[in-house]
Parts: sequence; structure tokens; C-alpha cells
Amino acid sequence: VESRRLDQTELLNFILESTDEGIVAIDPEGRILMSNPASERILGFRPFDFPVRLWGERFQFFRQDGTACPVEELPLAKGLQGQVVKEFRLRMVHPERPQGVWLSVSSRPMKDEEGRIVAAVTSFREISEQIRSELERREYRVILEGVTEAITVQDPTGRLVFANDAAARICGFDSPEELIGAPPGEVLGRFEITTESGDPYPPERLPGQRALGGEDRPSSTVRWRTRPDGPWRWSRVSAAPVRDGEGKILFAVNFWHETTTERISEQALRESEERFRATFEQAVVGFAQVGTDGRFLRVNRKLSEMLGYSEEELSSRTFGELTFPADRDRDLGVFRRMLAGEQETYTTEKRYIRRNGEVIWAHLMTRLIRDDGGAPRYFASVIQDITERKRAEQALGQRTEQLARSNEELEQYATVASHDLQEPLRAVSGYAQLLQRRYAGHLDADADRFIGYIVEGVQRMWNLINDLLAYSRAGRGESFSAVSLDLVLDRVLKNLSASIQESQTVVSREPLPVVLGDEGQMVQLLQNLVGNAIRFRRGPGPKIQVSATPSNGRWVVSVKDDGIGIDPAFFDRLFVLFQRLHSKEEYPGTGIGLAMSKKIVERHGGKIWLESDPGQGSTFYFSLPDAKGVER
Amino acid sequence: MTVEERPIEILLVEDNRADADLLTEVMKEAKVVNRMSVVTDGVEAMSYLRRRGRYSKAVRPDLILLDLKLPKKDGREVLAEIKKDPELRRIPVIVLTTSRAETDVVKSYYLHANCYISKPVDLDRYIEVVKGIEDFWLSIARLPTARP
Repeated sequence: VESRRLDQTELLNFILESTDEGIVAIDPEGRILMSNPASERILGFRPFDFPVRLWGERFQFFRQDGTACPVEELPLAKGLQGQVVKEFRLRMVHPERPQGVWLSVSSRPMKDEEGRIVAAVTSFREISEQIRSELERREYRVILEGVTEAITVQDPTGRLVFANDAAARICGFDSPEELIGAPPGEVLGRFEITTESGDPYPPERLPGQRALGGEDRPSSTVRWRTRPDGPWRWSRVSAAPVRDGEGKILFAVNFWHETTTERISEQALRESEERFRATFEQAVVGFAQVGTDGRFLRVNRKLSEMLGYSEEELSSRTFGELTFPADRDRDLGVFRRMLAGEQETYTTEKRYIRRNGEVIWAHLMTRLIRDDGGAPRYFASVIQDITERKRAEQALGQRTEQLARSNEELEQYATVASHDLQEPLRAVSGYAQLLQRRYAGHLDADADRFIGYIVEGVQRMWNLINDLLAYSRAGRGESFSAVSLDLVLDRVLKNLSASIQESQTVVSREPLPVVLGDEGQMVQLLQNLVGNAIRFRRGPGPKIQVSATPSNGRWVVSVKDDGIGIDPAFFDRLFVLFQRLHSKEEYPGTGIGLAMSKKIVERHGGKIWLESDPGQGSTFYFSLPDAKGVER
Repeated sequence: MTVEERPIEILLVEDNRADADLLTEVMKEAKVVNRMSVVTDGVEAMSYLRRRGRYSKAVRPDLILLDLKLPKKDGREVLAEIKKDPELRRIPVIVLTTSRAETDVVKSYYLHANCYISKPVDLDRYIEVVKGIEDFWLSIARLPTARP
């Protein structure tokens, strides 16, 4: 092939002008010998305008590690010193490129035949883009390695091109490199993946595959475990496609966020919630959570029944609205004090107004629940319907009050009646007796008999009035003190000495205790019982026994006789005022004795009762509190 | 000093006519000779004693028998007024009543009653009591007769 021999200089010039590599040559004095157009383009100035000695003033150079690089250490300078420099990275900053230009610079010396350095030739190119993307990659890598989320990148064939540490760990590899190097089938085969409900998860439906198929941000929650029997774990898997400028999908990035811990605690929470809800709902007492604004946040069925409002209706109401007005201020006061931290719990009995206007009584126990920081969250309240109990209490209270009032009225009535009855009776009695005294024998026999009846009747009435008066006074009497029943019995026997003598009664006695009571009434009581025992004798020489035995911290005193006895059928009537079992002719008396005795014993907090065999005798018992602990 | 020969003057303050008459009768039975005037309430009693109004000619009594239960002004007030009055307080006052209440007894003596007697129901006993009053107050006790 015949061709014209090319001019070497011409060719060299052509090459220098057309290459993208900047090329500059300097002589040992730092003068620019040549520079090509690319160097001008890259540097942004004409190298001829700036001899190397001026560079230090005009430009700044930095090494890759960020330290400043003096002019004499630049590859060009090194070339003049006889060194060969290859691909040295440096950043140059000058007025036209204030953000700096990254350069990769190579340099070598040019020598003459004698080996003297005559010039240094340096070639360079801009690598700013490359440096930037390298830096970015490194930055991302640090981030990706650091996150706990497993991140992988797949190419369109499904092969892994990137994986971070977390991904390698999850898949059971020591490093991301091992994971990436493993055949895809093997990686997937290590796992059993199911849906949340436990159905097998088709691999092609995994978000990564879907992203490669063009879906923008597919995501899904999966349950998985390492085969064959690792513990079940949960992850939130999402993926995103990475496209090039034309929209072609290059990669899919996968994110695996493990939610097992949250899942387990959520489940535990849900179970405990369910247990709580069951308790809450089925409880036979009312439960409520009341907000710091007083509103019902949550109530159970029982409370909603108790108040007659549905749960929804209650949620728009405050406890204050449903509280009975008279109880409201007190409750709201406590509510504020609890929120102010002065009180943690509150227990009370209060009234609520039901939806139908009915007022119910409730026992309320409430506690302020605070969050971890101590701020009030809500009030937990237990509310129990005690309306029935309250009603019973009120009824009892009213009845007791009524009873006390009617007792008092009765006593007043008896006192007044007997006092007022005395006046006219006195006149009747006085004049009847005067008639008898002056005119007995002067009128006829009938008149004498009639007057006799009047006098006798009046006398009886007189006795009744006096007894009634005494009976009504028995409920009051003196205050209690320690009383020796031995001394009381002494007095009684002395008072009754005439009838004891007359009836030839034999009284046997055992030592009697000291009791707490009204001494005068004790005399009256024993005198009634001993007197009755004498009165209701079967014949002359009755035997009476007085004794006492302790019983449950009390004394039981008994008066036993061998008299006519009493038919048990009459026991009840025995203690009723003015009830008599015998005619006045047989056994005189108004019938006040035992009624009075009962009233006295009851005033002393005791009981009176009897045992009797008709024809054999009776024993009357009464119990009294012991005087122990009473100062004498 | 000579004992003036004149009937004993008694003032009975008693609102109940039957009671007043009964006392008169009882006095007859007891053979007590006296002159007894009867007033029926506390205000009348004070008018009588101070010789006011229609009692301007009233004779000052030697003995007052006073019931405690009286209309208008009750026996305790009458007693207190008598015992505060320098002219009247030397007249013996016998509280004669149906009340047996201890407080009435104490209160009466506290107000300087000279004697407290509760009226017996039994006629014979009543007669005895009246005789006793006569014996002690009208025969045994020397009453001041000179009137200042």
C-alpha cells in the first residue's frame, strides 16, 4: 500500500488538539513550553498566561485527604525533580472555579541524551463527577449498613446486587458479600413465608417482584421463619423500583422491617385487653373511665344499665351532669383536688340521677390514673348500686325515729292523762267519801251500797292512775351506777317483811352480783317478782329461791317459787300492762307488776322471761349487764 | 301582849270550786273553827292581799293555803311575790297541792313556803292533815297579831 508518509509533527499536533486529556509541558524554570486546548478547557485559563511561579498566588491545591498541597509538591514539580507520578488526585480552586475542580494528574520528566531533565510533561483530566458519585456511594453505604432494616437491591432477573448487614443477618450469612454471591433460589429456599393469616406466600407476589413488574411502592406484611422450624416472625416488606432516564426499570430496592416484637407485645396487649374487657363488661358492678374533663370515656354494661343511658349517650356526658345536685359540689371539689394531686383516691356514697329522673344511691370508689410522666390520664371508677341498702337504712332510721317519737308521746300522754285524771277523780273521791261519812245509815241500804261502789271504784281508778304514772316514769328514771343486788334484796325483804311473816314464806338466797343499773328500779323489780311469788302461793309456807349465774358477760338472776304456776299459753299476756290472769277477788292488784318489771329490765338492756309448771311453781329470770369496769 | 279574841282568818287560793268546798267540809269534819275566804286565781290572790279593788275591805289573813296550779298567775309566782313583799312575807304560806313531784316540793321551799302538803286522797287522812294544820299553825304556833 503506497501512502504518503505523514509528517510526525503534524500528527502530534493533531493528537494534542483532539484529545480530551489536558497536556501541559514546562521547562525547569517553570515556563510553560506548551499546552493543548483541552487543558485550557479543563483549567479554565490559558496556562501560558500564568507561569508556574505565579500559581501559588493564583491557585490553591488540595490533596484527596483535604490537606493543602504546595506548588512544589504538585505532580508537575515532581516531574521536574525526576519523579514519575500517576493518577494523583487533587482539587484545584481558583477564581473561575471557586467550587474547585477535581483532577487526576499524571506527570513525568523529559530528559536529553545526557539524562538532564529538560522538561516535565503532565497530563490531567477532570474527575469531579466520579469523585462525587464515589463519595455518595460511600455515604449511602454507611447509612445502609447502619440501619436495622434489611435492605437488598435486585436486578430485573431477581439476582441480588446489594444487601446490607441486616439483610445478611436475617438470611443467616456472615456478610452481605456472601449473601449476594449465593444463588437466589438457595436464599429463598431458606425461608418459609406466609401471609398474616398463615397461607403460603407466592414468591412472585413479594413486593420486590411486584416492583420489578412496575408497581410503584408495593408493600405487604408477611409472616416468616427459617426452615424448618424457626420461630415465626413478622415483617413489613416494601419495595420501590429504580428507573433510568427513559423509565426502564434497572433495580428493585427491598426493605424488610421486622415487626415481631411489636406484634408480640401487641398480641399480649390485645389478649390482656380482651381479658380486661371481659371482666369490665361482665362485672356486676359498674366500671367507668372518666376523662380529666369529667366526661365518661368508657363504661361497662352494668353502669349503663344502672344509669339508664347507653354507652354512646354517656360518652357525651360528664359525671357531674348525672350527679344529684346536692352531691355535686362536693364531688367536683374532690375531682379538682385529685387533678391537683392533693388526693389519689376517693371513696364515697353518692346519688346519681338516672335517665328517667329516678335517683339512685351508689358506692363510688375512684382512682386517678397517671401516665409515666405523672400527668393525669383518666379516673378509674367502680360504682355499685346501693339504693336498696340505702332505702332499707332510711326506712329503718325513720322507723326508729318514729318509734322513739311514739314512745315519747306515749309516756307524755300517760303522764298528762294520769295527772289530769287525778283532778276530777279527787273531787269524786272526796265527795263520795264525804257522803259515806256523813250520810251512811241516814239514807236507805241501796244508797249506802251505791256509795260504797263509788268509793271502791274510785279507789281502784286511783291505783290504776298511780300505776300508769309509775309505769310511764319507769322509762326514764335515774342514771345508772353499780348496784349491789344483795343490798337490793335486803331492802326488798324488809319492805315485804309483813307479808313474808304473814304467809310464813321461806326465802333462800345465794350471793347476788353487783350490776350496772338504777337502784330504785332494781328494788322495784325484785320486789315485784318476790311479791308475786308470795302472792301466788299454793298455801302457807311457800319457798322462794333467789340466785344468779353469769352468762356471756351478763348476769341472769332468777326468782323461783313453788306456787300455783302459770299456763305457758298465758306467758305472752303476762307482761302486758294491766293484764291480769286472775280475778281481783282471788289475787288483788292492778296487773302492772310484770309490765313494769319488763320495762325496767329492758331499760337496763336486759331480758325477762319465765319457766313454769302449772301447779308446781314458776321461775322468773332476768338478765342484766355486769358492773365490771364501772368506777365505784 | 294580849291575844285578840277573833276568828282565825284563812285565805285559800284554789281555782277548783269542788276542791275548795271539799276543804271547807273537811274543816267542818275536823271541827276547825275559822273564817276562810277563797280566791280562784293568782291575780285575785294578790289583789286580795294588797286590798285592791273590790278587796279594799279584805282582812289580812293569818294563814294562806296556796294551790300551785292556778290560772293567770300560778302558785309559785304568787308565793315568790308574797315572800318578796315586806308586809306580806310574815304570813305563813302552806302549799297545798295534788302534786307529789319532788321538784315542786324543792321549788316551793326554795321560795320560802312555810310548809308543803300534798292533799291526801283518803278522806280520813285529809281530815287528819287539816287537823294537823290547825293544831300546829293555828293553836301551837304563836302568830304575830300586831300589824305594823
